[in-house]
Amino acid sequence: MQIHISATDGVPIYMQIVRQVKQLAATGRLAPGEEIPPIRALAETLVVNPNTVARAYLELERAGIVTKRQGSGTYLSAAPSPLSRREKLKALAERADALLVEAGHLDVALEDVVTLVRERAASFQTIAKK
Amino acid sequence: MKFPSPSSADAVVALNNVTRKFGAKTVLNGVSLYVPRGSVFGLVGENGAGKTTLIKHILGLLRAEGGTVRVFDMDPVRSPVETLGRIGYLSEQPDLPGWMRVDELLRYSQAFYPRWDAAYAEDMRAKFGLNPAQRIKTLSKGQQAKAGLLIAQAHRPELLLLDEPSSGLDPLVRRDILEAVIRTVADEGRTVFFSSHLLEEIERVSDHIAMLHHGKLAWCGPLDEIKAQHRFFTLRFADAQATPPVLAGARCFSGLGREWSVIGNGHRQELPLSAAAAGAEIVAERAPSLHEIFVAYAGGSGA
Amino acid sequence: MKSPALALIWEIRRRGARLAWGVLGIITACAMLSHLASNKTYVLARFEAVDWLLMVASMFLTFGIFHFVEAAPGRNWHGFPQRLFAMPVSTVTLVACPMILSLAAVEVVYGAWAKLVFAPLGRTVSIWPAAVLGVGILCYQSIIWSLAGYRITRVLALALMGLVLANVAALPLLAEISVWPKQTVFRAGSISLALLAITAVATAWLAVERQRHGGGRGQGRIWGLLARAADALPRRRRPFATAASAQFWHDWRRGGTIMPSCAAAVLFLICAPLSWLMRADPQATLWTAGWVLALPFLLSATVGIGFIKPEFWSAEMGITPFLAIRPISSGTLVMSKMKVAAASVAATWILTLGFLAAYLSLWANPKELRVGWTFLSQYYSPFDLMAMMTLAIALAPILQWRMMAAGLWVGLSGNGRLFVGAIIMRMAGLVFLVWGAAWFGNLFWTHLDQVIHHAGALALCLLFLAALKFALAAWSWRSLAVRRARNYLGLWWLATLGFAGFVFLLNPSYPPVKTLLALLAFLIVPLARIGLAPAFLDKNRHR
Repeated sequence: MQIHISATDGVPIYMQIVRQVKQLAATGRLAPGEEIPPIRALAETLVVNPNTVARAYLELERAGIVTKRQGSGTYLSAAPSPLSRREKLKALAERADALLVEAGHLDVALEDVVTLVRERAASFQTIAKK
Repeated sequence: MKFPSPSSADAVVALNNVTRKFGAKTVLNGVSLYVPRGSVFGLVGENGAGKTTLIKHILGLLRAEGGTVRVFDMDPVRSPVETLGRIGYLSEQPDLPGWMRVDELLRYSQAFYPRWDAAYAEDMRAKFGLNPAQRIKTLSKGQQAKAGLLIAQAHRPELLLLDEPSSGLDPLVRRDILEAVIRTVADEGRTVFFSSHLLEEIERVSDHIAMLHHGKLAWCGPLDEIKAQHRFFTLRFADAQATPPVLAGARCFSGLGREWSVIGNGHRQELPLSAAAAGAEIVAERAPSLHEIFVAYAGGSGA
Repeated sequence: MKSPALALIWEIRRRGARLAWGVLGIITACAMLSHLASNKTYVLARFEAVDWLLMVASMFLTFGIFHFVEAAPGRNWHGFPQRLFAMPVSTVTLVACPMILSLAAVEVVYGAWAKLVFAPLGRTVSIWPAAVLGVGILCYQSIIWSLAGYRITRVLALALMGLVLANVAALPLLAEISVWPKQTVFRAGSISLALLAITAVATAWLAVERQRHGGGRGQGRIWGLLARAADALPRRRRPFATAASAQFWHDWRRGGTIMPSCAAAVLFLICAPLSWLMRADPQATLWTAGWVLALPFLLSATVGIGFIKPEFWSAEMGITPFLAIRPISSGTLVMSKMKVAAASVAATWILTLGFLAAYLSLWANPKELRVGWTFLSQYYSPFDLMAMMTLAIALAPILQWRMMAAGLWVGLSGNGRLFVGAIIMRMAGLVFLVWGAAWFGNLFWTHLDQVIHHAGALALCLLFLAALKFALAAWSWRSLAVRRARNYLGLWWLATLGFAGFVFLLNPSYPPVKTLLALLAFLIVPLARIGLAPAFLDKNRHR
C-alpha cells in the first residue's frame, strides 16, 4: 500500500491517510478483501504517530471502507459500503461545490465539467481493469 | 488556552509555573505543562526560546527557581536515582565519553539500568552498523547520535526525552530516531517528550504539542485542538498596506501590497468582523499547517 | 585591506593589542624613571633589579602577543588557526607574517629597554641576548605550531627550549671562564643560533604546510597504534555486576591509572638508570631512597588536583550531562572516586616499595643506611623501630590518599573559583611547609622552647579545630546512608588511631609536643570534607 504523507499543507495526517486509502480502493489498487497493514507497521513505515493511523482506520471503518476482523487484522470491505445513499451524496456534495466554484472562477461551462467527470470515470475504469 | 488533563496521576511530567533565570535573562517564565502518559509530546520554539532549559529541568540537571517540577510524581532533584532510571535521554550533541569503545559503552550503560534489554541493544547495534571495537570519538556525528539513541532506548525507558535529536543529522539517521519514537510510543504506556526545529517531524509524530516563545508558553495542547483553534486566512485589503496590518484575534505573518496571510486564533467569528472593520475581505480560508502557526507566533506581529 | 599579509598583521595587532599596551606601559614607566631621576646611581642601585624583572615580564608579554594559536573545535588540537587555511594565501605568507612581525617586535622591545631605560642610567646592555631572544621567539612559534596536537609534549619541548636558550644566553659569562678563546666560543654560538633559527623557520613552514594540506600520517597514526596496543591488552568482557562497579571502572580508566603510570615512568626511566650510575656512591643511597619515598606524595599532590575534578583532562568544572544523568546517587559517585583514589594510591605504593626493595637489596650501597640505623638505635629499641617502620608503611598511603580525596568536595562542586582558591591554598601550604621546615630545622632547639612554652594555647587551638571538624562532620554526614557512614567512620578511627599510635611510638622527649602531635593525628584523616562531597556534587548535578 503506497501512501505519501505531506505535513506541509494544512490537511490533517489522518485525513490524508483516509483519502489515499479511499483513492487506492476506488482505483482498484487495493482489491476488496485485501488485508491492509497493521497500525504499528504502517506507523513505522510512514513515520507517523500510531494514534494517527488508528484514527484513520477508525474513520475508514466507520465509512465502511475497511472492516476489522477480530484477532486477524484489517481488510478492505468486500461488500458495498453500508452508508445510505443520501449520506454518500451529502459527502460528495461538498466536493462538487468546490469543483463548481473552481470551474466558475476558471470560466468553464457546466457541460464541459460534466464531460470531464465522465472522461475521468472512464479512465478510472480502464485502470481498474488492468 | 486549554491544557491537557492537569491530573498529576496521569501526567508523566508535570511542570507547574516553572521559572528560571540565568543572570538577568529570564529563560523560563511561569511555564506550566503536563505530559500525559503514552503521548508523544513535541516542544517547538526558536533557538534560545528555552527548550533545552526546560528539558534540563525535567532531567533535574537544573533546579527550578520558582514553581515545581514533577516527573513520575517525584521531584527529579530530590530523587534522581528513581527518576533517571526510568528516563532515556538523547541530547542534540550526545556527550558520550569519546575514549570508550562501543562495546564498553554498552556494558557500562547496562550496569545502570536493571531493565536493560541486552538482546534488543545488540539488535539495534547491528542495525545501526556500529562496530563494537570502535572508539566513540572516531564515530561520525550520525553514528554518535545512533549510539546515543541506542543507550537512551535499550532499557525501554518509560519516558524518552529527546532534545533536538535531529539537528544536523542526515535524513537516514533522522528516520532512525523518529522510528525509535514511534516504537517507544507503540509499546503500551511509554511516553516521548521531544523538542525539535523540524516542524514537519513534530507534526508527523506528536499528538501533543507546546510552543515556547521567549521563555513563555505560547500554546500547549493536543495537536488536533491546536490546529482546530487556528485558521489560515488570506485577506485582500482595499488599499496596499505598507506594514503588516494589525487585526484583533489574528496574527499576520506574511504578505505584500493588498494581499496578506493571517492566522486567526481563538474565536472564528472575531476575525471576519475585524477584517471587515479594517476594510479587508477574506479571499481564502483553510486549515493551517503547524509551520504556518509557528511562523505566525515566532516571527509575526499582532495580538 | 590592501593585501592578505596586511590583513594578517592587522589580525595579530588586534589580538595582541592589550598585551602590547601593557608592554608599552611598562617600558614608558621605566624609561620615565630613568630619564627623570636626578640621582642616577641611586636609581641604579635601588631599581636595577626591578627594571630587569620588568624587562623579563615585558618579554613574556611580547611572547604572549605572538602566541598565535587557536583551538580546533571538537578536537584535542591547539595550533595555527585553521580557518586561515582556507584563505587564498600561500603557506609561506601565513607563516612568515607572524614570524617576521614577532622577530621585529622582540628586537624593538629589547632595543627600547637598552636605549630608553638602561642607557640613561649609564648601563650598557649586550647585544647577545637580543639575538638569543630573536631565535627564541622563532623557536617558540615553531614549537607551538608543529606540536599542536601534543599539548603536554609541547610544554616539555618549550621548557627544554627555554633551558637550552638560557644557557646560550649565558654564553658571555661562560666565555669568561672557558678554556677556549673568547672569539671561538662566540663564533660557535652564533653559528648554532643561526642554524637553530633556520631549523625553526623551516620546521614551522613544513608543519603548517602539512597541517594545511594534510600529511595523511601523523598524530592519528600514533593514536591508532596506541589504541590497537590497548585493545590487545586483556580487557573486561563480562557485564558489570552493579552500577557502582561500572562507575568504578569508568573512574579508574579516566583518573585512576594516571598516578601509577607517572610513578612507573619516573621510577624506571629516571630513578633506575640514575641510581645504577651512582651505585658506588654511599651518599646516593639516602638521596635516592628519600626521593623515591617522596615521589608518591609529590605525585598525589599534583595529580590530585586533576583527580578531584569531574574529568581529569578537562578544564571544565561542571559535570557532563552524560555523568549527571547516571541513575545513581551522588554519594555513590563520590564513593567511586574515593575507591579509585585508594586503588590508585595502592598501585603507586606497591610500585614504589617494589622498586625500593629491589634497589636496596640489589644495587644500592647500604653503608649510609647502616649508619642511620645505628644512629636511630641509640634512641629506640629494635622492636620499636620495626613497629614504626611497619606503621609508617601502612600510614603513608593513607596520607597520600588523603591528598587525593580530601579535596573532592571542592573539585566536584563545579565551582571554578572555589577550585582555584583551593589550589592556591594548597600551593601556599606547600611553600609554607617547605619554608617552615627549613626555618624550623635551623632553629629547632631555640624554638622548641617556645613551642613548649605555648603548648597550652596550641593544644587549645588544635582541640577547637578537632571539635569544629566533628561538628561539621556530624552535620555533613546526617543526610547520607547510615551504613556508609558507619563503614567510613570505622576506617577513620582505624587510621586516626594508627597515627596516634605512631606518635606514641615516636615518643618525643617533651610531653607537651607529644600531646600536640597526638591531637594533630585527629585532624589528619578527612571526615567532614568527605561527608560534604556528595552535597557539593549535588549542587553541580542540579544547578
